[in-house]
Amino acid sequence: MCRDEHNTESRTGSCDHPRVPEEHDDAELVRRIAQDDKEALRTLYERYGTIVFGMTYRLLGDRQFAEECTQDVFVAVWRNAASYASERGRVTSWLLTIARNRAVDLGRRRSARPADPYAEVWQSDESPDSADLAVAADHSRRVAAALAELPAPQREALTLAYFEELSHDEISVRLGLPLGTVKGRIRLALDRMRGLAPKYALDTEREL
Amino acid sequence: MTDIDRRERAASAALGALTPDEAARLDEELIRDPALADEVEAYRAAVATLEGGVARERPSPELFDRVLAQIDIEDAAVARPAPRVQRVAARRPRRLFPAFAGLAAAVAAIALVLAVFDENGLDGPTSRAAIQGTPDFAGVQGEARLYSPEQEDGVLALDLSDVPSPGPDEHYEIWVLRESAGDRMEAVGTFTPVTPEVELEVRLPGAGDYKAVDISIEPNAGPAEHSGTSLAGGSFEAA
Repeated sequence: MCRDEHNTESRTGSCDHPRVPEEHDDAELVRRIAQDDKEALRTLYERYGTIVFGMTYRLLGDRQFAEECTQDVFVAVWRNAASYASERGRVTSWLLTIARNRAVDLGRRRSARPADPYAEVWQSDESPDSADLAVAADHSRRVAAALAELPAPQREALTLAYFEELSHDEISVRLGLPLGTVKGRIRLALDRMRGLAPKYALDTEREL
Repeated sequence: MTDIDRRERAASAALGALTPDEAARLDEELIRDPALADEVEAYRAAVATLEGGVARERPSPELFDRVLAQIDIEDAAVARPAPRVQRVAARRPRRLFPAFAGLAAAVAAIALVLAVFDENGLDGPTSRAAIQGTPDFAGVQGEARLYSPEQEDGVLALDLSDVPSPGPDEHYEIWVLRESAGDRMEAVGTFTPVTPEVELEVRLPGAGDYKAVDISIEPNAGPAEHSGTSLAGGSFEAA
């Protein structure tokens, strides 16, 4: 019996909706990407593209640059999939580190070039100073990593609520799940985020 | 109401997912129920942490298609020799520079050429510079041409030969020097060649009397300033 469906205290995500792939096959996806499987790349993007974009958007403060950066990240995944070593960490850690580095690189270029031909473009955006960017990027990477670590059903529900700002009813329709299950998954996701805060050095009180 | 129900409502409130009626009812309850208020605040802290690291924004629906397109363009650029550069059409700068930023990582210069230029053109060059490699890269030769540098949408075209591959953590960056900028070099783009023969065009930083062009070797994670190490360069003369 699926405990999650009954809104118990389950944190295991053991009753994953069948449409949601399990985390442990991320490495298998990357292995397939290394063999030029673009469908595998699409699946990886569908799982984490929104998180990568949200992270780079937070750092760069501009939709277009965040999309450029996200695009670069997934092209880099395509080019470098063969170099991923599962024994060195999760796929999400690898992916988000790429995203962090790309965002920092782009952010530094934006903020450190007053003589840039398109300086007015950079200056019109609210981006962090170069000196602070690495710190902000590390924080964003940790937040994104915690989000990526949620069990897939919880992450899916929270992603729809958070990024798409869908109501519970809309999520219920979108996923074909009972309303109570949706509410339960979102609550469990936030519980899990709170639980992951120490692991990722996230001070959930600081933001208040 | 069960404890689970209370917590689900608190989580929903923190995410802003309650309907207006539900939110109004909850507000009334929070006055009477400090424990529930604490629960809501705890969830709000979690959401605030999330918002502090990951923006509440979604990418465009077509972004993954652009990822695939970029892969295809790069693959095509590697698979075939660089075509002759077509003449240049004006473009909004906002698209141009991020493309260069991407190039700095790994993209071949020709990918940009394919992406940016079209068949509509400019007149002939007003200035030319013979490009010569620095002593450590004496084999590098070529030509730089300026098109409409007196206009805001002027273009620098570069044809280079015998360009070595940069180091694994390096790329090349193009700089120009113009009268109005004093001694300050202005960066106009970066590239990583896929063949020793390089043809590319970049937009100039603005109208001006351009004196020289320089191509530097830059570390991928280095500062935005000129590294001080040049691959090649040249001085402009009227065409």
